[in-house]
Amino acid sequence: MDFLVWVENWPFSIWVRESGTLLAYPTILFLHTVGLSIVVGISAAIALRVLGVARAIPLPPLASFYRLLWAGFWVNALSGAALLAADATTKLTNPVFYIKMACVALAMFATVRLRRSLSARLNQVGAREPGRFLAAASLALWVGAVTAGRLMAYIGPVSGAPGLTNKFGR
Amino acid sequence: MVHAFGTWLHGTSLSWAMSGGYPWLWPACETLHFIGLALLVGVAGLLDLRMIGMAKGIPLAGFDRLMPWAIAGFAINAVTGFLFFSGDPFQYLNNVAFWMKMLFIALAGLNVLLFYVTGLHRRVHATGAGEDAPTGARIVGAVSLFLWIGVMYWGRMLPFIGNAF
Repeated sequence: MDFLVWVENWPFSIWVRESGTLLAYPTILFLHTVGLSIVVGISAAIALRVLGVARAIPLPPLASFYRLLWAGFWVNALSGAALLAADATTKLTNPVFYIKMACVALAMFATVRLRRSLSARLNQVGAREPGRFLAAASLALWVGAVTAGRLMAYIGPVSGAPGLTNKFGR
Repeated sequence: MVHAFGTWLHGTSLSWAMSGGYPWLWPACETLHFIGLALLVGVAGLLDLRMIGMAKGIPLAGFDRLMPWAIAGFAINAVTGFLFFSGDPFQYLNNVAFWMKMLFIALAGLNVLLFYVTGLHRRVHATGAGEDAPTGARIVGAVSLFLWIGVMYWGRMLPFIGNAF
């Protein structure tokens, strides 16, 4: 706990939490949302295709979206670390945070493994399409990650700091 | 008129349910709103990126069957968005970020409309694997990406602009 208090008192953490500028907490939260749309959006579209939606889309060119997917992942790892530092004593004592991290790790693993199913060799006409289990797992785990992320603002220890409003209304 | 609608809506049992009558309802809708966001921006974004010039191995007609998923994402978000609005209409009506978000959504709709009425969609549909999309489609794709990122920006700014800041 001493460590978490120390992290929360870094000048950077205080700036994110208390500077009161749109560039701090609100913009970092926005970047975290854009990253989510890139990572979960691209993963979901690829998973749907592997599951049999829109078969007119050839699988191999979809692999070129992985570079952008990784960019989105790093945007969220960094913005997430900043949000975490600003609110360490609350977030790191919330079990929902660890559920989210587990879902994200497993979902990224499934999504990255799914890339192998996109290769031309496995995409021969008539061949049984591989990767369906990974695609379904990726979709389910991303839904879990988004749900846990959203519920961190409601379940378990929730920050009372006015600068850390991650919800609107009730 | 908007004011009268807001006052009426605030008095409905739907508004009561959303504003704490059922405490789980608001977080549940938020979760669905983020899943809808990922579906809409992810699926529509892939088409936009292909039109701009990424993953040219995909024939543009291939996206036809994927688009209903983007529309489903939009529908989820329109419904959950209206539910948020019903919970506390004036929290939104008096917020400039809300009106900017609505403006950006309307512009994104106009962008799609232009895509169809100009006949651009037919030329896009004929764009095969390895071919460049028409210049007009590149512009539509770039504008779409900009507008949806803008929609996310204004949505995220709702609790901050005009409230805590």
